[in-house]
Amino acid sequence: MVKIMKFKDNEIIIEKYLNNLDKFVLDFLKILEKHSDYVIVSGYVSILFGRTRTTEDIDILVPELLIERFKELYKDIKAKFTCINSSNINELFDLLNTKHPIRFIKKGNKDFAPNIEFKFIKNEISHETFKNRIKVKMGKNIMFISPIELQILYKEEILKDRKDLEDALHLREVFKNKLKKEKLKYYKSIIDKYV
Amino acid sequence: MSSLKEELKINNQDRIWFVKYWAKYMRTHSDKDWSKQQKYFIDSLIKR
Repeated sequence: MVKIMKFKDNEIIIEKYLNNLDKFVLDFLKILEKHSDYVIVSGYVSILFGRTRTTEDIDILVPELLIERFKELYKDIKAKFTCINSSNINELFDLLNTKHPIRFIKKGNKDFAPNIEFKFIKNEISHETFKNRIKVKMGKNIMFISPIELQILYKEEILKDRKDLEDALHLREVFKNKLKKEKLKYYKSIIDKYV
Repeated sequence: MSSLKEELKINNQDRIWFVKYWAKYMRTHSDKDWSKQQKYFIDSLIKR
């Protein structure tokens, strides 16, 4: 058997060829990480680990920022990306603070997909996801994603759409024998409060 | 109607079979191998 990605407790190393979706995400993260920590959740996590589908949005959760810090981040982002919700920074900040996401597309791009769905962390599950985020190394590139166990349960117990159930199955199969039972149990206890 | 239901059931089973088949392929091949196939698929849909 040939080796697959190396999987440690809080770190995964993949030697994958980067596709255009990976590159799109990394371009955004290069700007974001200068200003804030973050965690990537949902469909892109499954795609990162080989799911044969694409997605219209990449969900990125960020701890709440003060307006001054958000303005600095937005100034840097808008050099390479366009926000499709508004160009008014106060409106964008209000959206984020009222639990709405804001979306960014590549500057000069006429297509609305893929886009970055950027949200502030506002609930317990998101906090837990961020607190326990794991590092993924792909050559020189690094990104932080949701714990795999939490991602699987969120898709199985909360989202439940066919696409989400298939994403969860994919992660269960790819990480067969590598998922931690105690983590599954712990995250299930958190998710159960909301189902 | 019952034949459509049956077809949808078979289709669903087949999708699950493929997810497992592909994941097994990934587990038994190098990252470079499976990601080359994934890149070919995704890059055909998303241009830089």
